[in-house]
Amino acid sequence: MTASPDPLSPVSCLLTFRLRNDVAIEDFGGRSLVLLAGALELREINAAARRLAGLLDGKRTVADIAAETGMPVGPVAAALLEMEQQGVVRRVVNWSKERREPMSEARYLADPDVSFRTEGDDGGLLYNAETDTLEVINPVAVEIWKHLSAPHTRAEVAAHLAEVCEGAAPEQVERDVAEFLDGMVQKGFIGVVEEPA
Amino acid sequence: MTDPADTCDGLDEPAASAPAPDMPPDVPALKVFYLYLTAGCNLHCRHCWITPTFVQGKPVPAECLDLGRLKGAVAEGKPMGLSAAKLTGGEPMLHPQFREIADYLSSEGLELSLETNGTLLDRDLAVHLVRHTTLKRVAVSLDSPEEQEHDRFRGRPGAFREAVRGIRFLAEAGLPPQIIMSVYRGNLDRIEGLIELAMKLGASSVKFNPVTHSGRGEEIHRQGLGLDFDGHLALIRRIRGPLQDRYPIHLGAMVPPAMSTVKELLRYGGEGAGCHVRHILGILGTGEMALCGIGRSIPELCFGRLGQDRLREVWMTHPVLVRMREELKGPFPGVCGDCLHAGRCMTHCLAQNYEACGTLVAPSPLCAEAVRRGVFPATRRRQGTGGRGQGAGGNRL
Repeated sequence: MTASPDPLSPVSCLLTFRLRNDVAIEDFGGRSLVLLAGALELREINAAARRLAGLLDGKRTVADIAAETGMPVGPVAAALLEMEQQGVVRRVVNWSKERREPMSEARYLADPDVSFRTEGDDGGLLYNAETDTLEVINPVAVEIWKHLSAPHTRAEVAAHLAEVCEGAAPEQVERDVAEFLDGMVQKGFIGVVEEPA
Repeated sequence: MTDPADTCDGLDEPAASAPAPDMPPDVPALKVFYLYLTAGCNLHCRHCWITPTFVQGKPVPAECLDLGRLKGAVAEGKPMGLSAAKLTGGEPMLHPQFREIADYLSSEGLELSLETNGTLLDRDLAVHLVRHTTLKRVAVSLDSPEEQEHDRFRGRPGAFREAVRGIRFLAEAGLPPQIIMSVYRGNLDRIEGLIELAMKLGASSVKFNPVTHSGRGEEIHRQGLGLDFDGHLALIRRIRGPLQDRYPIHLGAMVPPAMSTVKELLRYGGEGAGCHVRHILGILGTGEMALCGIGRSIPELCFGRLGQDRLREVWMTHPVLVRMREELKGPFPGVCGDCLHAGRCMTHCLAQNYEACGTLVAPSPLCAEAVRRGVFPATRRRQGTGGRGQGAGGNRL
């Protein structure tokens, strides 16, 4: 999950969302059921949420959808952010795989559509269904991946790791973080976030 | 050659500098010949999947690959991408022109690998192969650190001493070989001893192949001496875990990646994950072109004969090869269709699949059994458990 801004903030008006790849919606009369295929769960959503979900194309902003539905921006943003928390929709972030300067200011985010699986404490698997690519990661990378549920800079990631991995030399941690982030951005598992202006 | 999985252990990786193949875009390059130089062997191993003819002197010419035909195949194969050859058998060194063949293939710039029981290797030949040919990798079979046990399993007194001597010659010549141990219940307690012997002999690595149901191995299983599903997995865990932690020599085993732990995947990467079958053509001692050595026992996996059929035409148009390539593009059948590793694993060892269920592209016997037992890891399924983005359980409504 990405960090949730205040639904009433100007930033929220500019957010865009789309349905997650592993979600299907079935309508039954006036009711709608959401199938979360990855989690094998069924949930009911109300008519207003169903209407919003139908408008998500990854391009319309919250403000666009509010205008189209005649609903106030705040409730639209709140509903979509709630559906994001529930795993029905995901925020569309603009990914960049290009190296930028200064990288120290870039904020990284784990692709929310990538499926992450752990098996004990030995590491984990990242699976990108869109590209059918698989990455096996060690426990330190798992820690980074989890930390990047919200956007963070390299320095923030390194600081977090330094806390978790006691005794590691800070310079080595920074080098390892930089190498890992560069590699994962290249492979499309992690993106550099372009926040709405 | 004693196990079909021997074909997929990295010995077959063609040179990276392979020439651009003169092939249509929808036909994969033919990169490697698996040359089963003779169908004869001077040992009579209890488990051999090829079931070669036991030879006490020289093999009959009809079962030795004709050098003239081989030259024709190489000439045809090089524009198709051919860049490597594995010399195997039977026992390849039984071929009366073995040295000449190695020299010829080297002169053609093909990277060579060799699978042998080691018994016919003398110092002079080892030095020649290492210094004057393009031989890059050698695998020698050794099934026990105990002489009598090895000889009993290999069906001939003296086999152990000769193999050990051959390993020493190779290591002294500068090409430490890989040792391959065929594992069954009868030698499970010899694994550590064999690893220690391998290190003492200067081997480069040890690979462990559980005896399969193929060829003579079926009798081992009929006697209850083969490893069952649990035994097979326990062996893999033991080798790739505590034993690899303990010994500095590289230890390997073929296993579908879905049945590997995360720790093993991190440690071994893609090693042992699958077969490069789309780029391989087997050539039997009789001159028959086949999928691999399985063609010796399964005639429908032979595609033609050198001297009678054009290599290029066989490679491009034989219906078994065409169908196999189509099926390998996916979607894969059974559990493979839902497996995260399918694109790389390619259903693992196609020869074993065929022997198990009569289909090349099918879940490997190990994965199929895991599904039957309900122990195929859910984390390796596309629709498996695991969170989105954040992992740890993912989002919930």
